[in-house]
Amino acid sequence: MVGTSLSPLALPKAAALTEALVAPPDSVGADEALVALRQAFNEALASAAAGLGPDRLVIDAYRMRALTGGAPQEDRPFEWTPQTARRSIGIEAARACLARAGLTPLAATIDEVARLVRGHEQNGSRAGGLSAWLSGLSTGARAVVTAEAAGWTSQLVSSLEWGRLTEPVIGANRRVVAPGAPNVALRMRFEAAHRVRDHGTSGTAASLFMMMPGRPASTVQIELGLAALAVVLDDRTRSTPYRVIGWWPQSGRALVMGVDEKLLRDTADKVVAAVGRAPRSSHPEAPPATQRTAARGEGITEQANQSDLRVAS
Amino acid sequence: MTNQLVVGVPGSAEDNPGAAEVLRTLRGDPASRPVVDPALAGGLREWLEDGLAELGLDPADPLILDKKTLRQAHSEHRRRGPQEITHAIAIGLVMDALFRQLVTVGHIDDPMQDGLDALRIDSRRADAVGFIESLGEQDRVDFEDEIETQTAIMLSRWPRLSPAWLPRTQERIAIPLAGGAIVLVGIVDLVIGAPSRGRASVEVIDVKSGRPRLDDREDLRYYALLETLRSGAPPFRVATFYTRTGQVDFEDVTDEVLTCTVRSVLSAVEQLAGGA
Repeated sequence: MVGTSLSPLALPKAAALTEALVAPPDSVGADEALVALRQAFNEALASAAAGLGPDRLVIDAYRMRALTGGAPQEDRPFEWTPQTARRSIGIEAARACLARAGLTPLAATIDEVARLVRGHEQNGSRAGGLSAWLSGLSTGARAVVTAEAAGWTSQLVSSLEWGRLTEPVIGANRRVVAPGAPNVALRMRFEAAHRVRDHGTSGTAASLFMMMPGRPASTVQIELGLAALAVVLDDRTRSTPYRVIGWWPQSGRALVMGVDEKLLRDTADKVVAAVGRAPRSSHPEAPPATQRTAARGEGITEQANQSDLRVAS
Repeated sequence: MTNQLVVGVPGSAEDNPGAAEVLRTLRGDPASRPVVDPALAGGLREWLEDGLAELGLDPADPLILDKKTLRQAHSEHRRRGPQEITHAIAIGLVMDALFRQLVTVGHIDDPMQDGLDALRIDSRRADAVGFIESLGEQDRVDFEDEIETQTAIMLSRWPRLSPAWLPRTQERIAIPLAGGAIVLVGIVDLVIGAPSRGRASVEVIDVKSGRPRLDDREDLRYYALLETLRSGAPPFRVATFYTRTGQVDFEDVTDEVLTCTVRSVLSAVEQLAGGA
């Protein structure tokens, strides 16, 4: 496994994770190198995507795991479950906790669920969306969703010493479409980012924090690398990632990876290879790819479905 | 049997002596919680890794060890395959769901309906839902009666917890060892307390709907080991809350408790790996 594991003996964990997140960058990728990488990736992806069907192929951590042999791939329609809903609710709850001193993760989660239900009842919401689904649940079922989300929120809020982050981002879902391959989208998410001014460019340099379920898999380098690559390709963020931290609270493991040109190129090559191996035939009867992949609990949100599409150029 | 609904909220410690007693038992004396020895978790992990390395386990076919597998490994009557749903197991699953609801949202409207709906939203519980729905008329009446009785006891005894204690229900823990060849797993009914900042701060609580058994303490100790390996700090206390009686059984977590559990895990894995 590439990267550095944080010592499991370091207490408190939040201090060790925050220290790794906010430590100054060893180096930040040079602008010219990143431009060249983007260009090479766009060309390679366009070539690999030739012949794909009209359905958009979404490349995310789950699909990369599946296409690189890390997990069996199942295509089943997306459905809301306590597990697929917890991150969407939890991100909003975490933001509320960090904005309001004294608000606890449990109280914030209960508030967020109530807000979503109230919003649907008062103004309606998109059919199949989280608000509509929550509104249709009974007391017992909604309590399970609230409990799952509250646990997730508690884990995220207690993972870091948030006051030490500068220009923090809490929760992000990004999709990037390369100009030469409009039928392929890279989707990534991270739970937090610490940003510093990048004096070499007019943008920022970012250290990313990803909270993942279970335990690190053998494909962890690809999963973390994909997040960094998507940020590099996302023109509108003007942000250059220099570090990615994966945190698995269920197993207490953390992995710190520096983002360098090699990691980005390796990840880009694996994405291109995965697209090249994707089935060529289209399935008109199948649901859109975004819905199929979301079924794995990758944390798709209503906002991401509707508008969070970035185009790399 | 009556079909009267038990509607309620958990006991407030101020006006409910039963809830106050449970709360006192859960909290213990905060001043006496031990300082964490930062080397302990690492030592336990190394002991496990050394013991497991000798067994030559294959990471391609990982052995998943949970509390039931651990118990069965030490039992003469070892059973393989998925556990069959029985009346007692179905009661336990419904009570686990109701306990989770009580801790999270603070009230239970209709025990049987809420409990069943909580199981229905979890596809892994389809067999339990099927079992309950297929009960004959009298069995179903008896089942509901038991659920309502245990819920009434739980409501009268379980204290309202401060949200500042970060209550997390059905918390999953997964500790890979031996390069992933063995994974120690558990789903803990309730974990309370913020992560340790140098002093033991977390308590692990298991909920049981049946009669107390000797094995219950073994389950708690296993959870204590998992939490120690995961967080680097042992919980200060582990406890079982019995919904049948509203009683709490607890044990303070010591180094000896954890070292005994390491031995138990190693012996179980040896049994399972050797097919003995």
